[in-house]
Amino acid sequence: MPVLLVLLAPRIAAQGDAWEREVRLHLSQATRRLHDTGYEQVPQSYAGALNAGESASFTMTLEAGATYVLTGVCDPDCDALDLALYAPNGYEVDAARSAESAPIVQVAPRETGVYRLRVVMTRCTTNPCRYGVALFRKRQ
Amino acid sequence: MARAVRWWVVTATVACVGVAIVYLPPRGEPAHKSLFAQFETPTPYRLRVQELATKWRAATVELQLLAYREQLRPELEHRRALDIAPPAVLFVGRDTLSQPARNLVAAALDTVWTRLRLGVTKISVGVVIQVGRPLVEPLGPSGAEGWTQTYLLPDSTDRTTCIALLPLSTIWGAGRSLVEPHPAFNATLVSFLQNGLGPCAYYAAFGAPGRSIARWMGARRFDLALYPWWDRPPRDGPFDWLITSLDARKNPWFWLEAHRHPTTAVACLGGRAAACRSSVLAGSEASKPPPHIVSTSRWWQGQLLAGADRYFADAVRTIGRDRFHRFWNSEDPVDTALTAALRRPIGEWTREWQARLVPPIRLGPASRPSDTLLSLMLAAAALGFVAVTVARREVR
Repeated sequence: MPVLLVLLAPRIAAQGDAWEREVRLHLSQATRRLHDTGYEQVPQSYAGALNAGESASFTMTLEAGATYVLTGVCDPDCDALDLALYAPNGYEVDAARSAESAPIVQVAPRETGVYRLRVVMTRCTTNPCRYGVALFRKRQ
Repeated sequence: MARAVRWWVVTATVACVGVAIVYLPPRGEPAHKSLFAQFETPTPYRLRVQELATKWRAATVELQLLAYREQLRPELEHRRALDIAPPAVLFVGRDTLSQPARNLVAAALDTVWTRLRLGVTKISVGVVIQVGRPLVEPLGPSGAEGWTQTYLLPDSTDRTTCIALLPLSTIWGAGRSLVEPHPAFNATLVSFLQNGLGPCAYYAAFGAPGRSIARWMGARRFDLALYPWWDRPPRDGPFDWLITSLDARKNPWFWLEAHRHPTTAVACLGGRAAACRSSVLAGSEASKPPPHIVSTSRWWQGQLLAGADRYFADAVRTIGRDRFHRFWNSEDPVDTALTAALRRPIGEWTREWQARLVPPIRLGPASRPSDTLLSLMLAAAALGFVAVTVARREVR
């Protein structure tokens, strides 16, 4: 029994609360949809919690010649989540605004570099709202 | 000058000198110098030392609360994963509580959680029961003694946890029964824990407030959301003596208590809607980010609104949880959000709320009808007496 508890403990810790589980579920559904359209998930995802009006930024290295898609999901209390992707020179490459709770941005970098992703929790009816963003790359 | 008149002049002069001595301050002295203000003005050095000490205390408290949050994290994560609703409890300090007593505290917290109709919440609450005197002294961020309840609100490093630090004496109050050989469930303990949840209960029930609401609450030290009493009828709180002391029918010295409040709060007690609005909206223009630490230290002193500690609890009960929830999370300016939630002008709603809590006091120079009647009767009696005396006067 103690062995079982030891084995279960990390899994329980990784499960998160009901809202986190909801975000993971939405993300896995998005992954399936994108997989069917020829994308594979890059083992790099971003998650967190934001109050309405707050934002978070992440950096990622994107390679030239590939086509990438970033999709965001959020918990049921979130009404609108915005994504914006910035090139290494600081210019906005693509953005999904007013896209409700499942924004998608796409980019085909001309040069390899560190891109910055900005996630904005535009509307959240019960703060904070959980969100998750996954990165996908088109299969060659 | 007749001899009798001379005596009258001397008496009047002596009386005037007496009044002057009592009321006029000596030259160069402050007008309101009292026995409590006999100290020398602090030097700039001393002021700086005091400022540093306050900052040091605040940092100590914050560090301590952050350490407690880390200690509670595994238990909180476990509860989140398994959808366990009530708060996690941590006992610290010179803990002398037996296991049955600890279980009793956990059971009482379950009761409070149910009573407040809280289930699995987005923001988890961790309750730290500090038994006996604090290990780190002084505890209060504003130099308060160690018995102050202190809260670590969700911040950018952990947006989903609120920590309530509740000092519990085992000599008096709710903790006394816990050190008995067979501790029993009692209302005092439940009430202590319910009050102790403080702003954390609002965070658990309604989430983190919108930005403008959070800044407003921060500027007011969360006075409107200090106690989660939305399960109780108005005037049924543990601090009713404060409200009773403002009731002219029950306390002839009510004006002493009333005038401890700012002018707008006194005017609101007098039933002036514009003043009620000002009292409620005080701090709503604040631009400073809200603090992460809130303390109940001396919360009753200088309340911006009489009975402010139950304002939001009464609002939740009156307008319903859904409307209050929308207000609490609103991104609109405070007055817009609150008016929308109350569906009435803030001043009007607050005036009626205040009148339900404390019967309106009389403001201004007007006398009470009974006093006026008594004065008129006395004047009539005096006139009658003079008239009768004059009529019977004999001139020789």
